[in-house]
Amino acid sequence: MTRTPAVYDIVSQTTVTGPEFNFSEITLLVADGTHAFRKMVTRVLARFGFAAVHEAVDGHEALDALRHHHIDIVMTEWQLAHVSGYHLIQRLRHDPALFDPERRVIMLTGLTEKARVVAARDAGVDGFLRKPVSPDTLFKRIVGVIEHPVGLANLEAASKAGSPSASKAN
Amino acid sequence: MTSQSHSNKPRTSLKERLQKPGGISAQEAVKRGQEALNEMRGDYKAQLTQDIAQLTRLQRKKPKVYAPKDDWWQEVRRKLLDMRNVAGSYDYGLVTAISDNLLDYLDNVEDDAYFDEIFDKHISALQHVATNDIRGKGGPQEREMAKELLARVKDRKANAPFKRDPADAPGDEDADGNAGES
Repeated sequence: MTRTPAVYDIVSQTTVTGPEFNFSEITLLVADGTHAFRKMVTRVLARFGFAAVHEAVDGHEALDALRHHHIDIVMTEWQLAHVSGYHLIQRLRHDPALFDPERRVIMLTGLTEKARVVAARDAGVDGFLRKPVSPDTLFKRIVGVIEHPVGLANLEAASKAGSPSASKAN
Repeated sequence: MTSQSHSNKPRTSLKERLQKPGGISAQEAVKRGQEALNEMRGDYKAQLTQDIAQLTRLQRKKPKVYAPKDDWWQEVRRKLLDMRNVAGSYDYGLVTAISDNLLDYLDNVEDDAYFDEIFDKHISALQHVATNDIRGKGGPQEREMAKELLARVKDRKANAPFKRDPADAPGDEDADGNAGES
């Protein structure tokens, strides 16, 4: 009998454990078309002590950054010009040139209809965050996805269930 | 974009790197993040004033003839989304709530005789928050103001005609995401 893979929650906040957190060898990409939001998030994340916080204003820049830099965590808005955040995630999960099983992906968006959350989950995101965000929320979600990655497990579950979101984008 | 070169060194897992000695506590990280926000608050306040002025200009440019999801609708919606998504991070929760309410109205009511009045009320409320630098949910006056705006939109949603094709419903508009830099 084939075992059905478990589907994990990507919305609820996970409990952060450990006395200290070292981000000095971890890199991150923030892809968001809204200047004010992107600058705010990157500056907060820089203060957490990440090795590098890259920025992208649209899907093309995000893909370019992923091709030219080592990026451990991708935080993307759903709405991005040229290549949407959703399609970016599909590329990250299916394109052999971009795939990295260690990479974590967080959808950070103002579009939070249930259908989008489910589509993002099935596409393989590790966490889903609703805008606006606070430093506390950002910190907990980032540590949460590092300690408890669920994206690839959810992608596998969605793929076995035949979800269209689990398929490679055209 | 921040520059950083690729490294071919074998990497340890993310979790192991996170747990390396020399890190900071959760409390310290959040404190530093909050300090960064506080430093940017002045710039954000100036941005908020500009955003409200832009909304006012957009209101004046409203097309005489209603057209579902026209450029005007898209532009107003994008501006409101930006305001909603950023304000709360700077502790302007009311701006987020008011923008969200106007978005709800814009998305769900069309050809409404009270459109100008409702738009005006939301802009006045935003101006009140910005001028008086009201943080969080504000005081009793602001809570009453927000309650009234919510009730007004709820009423119009229940009573105003909604003729938009369901296929045009918000949320379906851009699986591809067509937002440019704003």
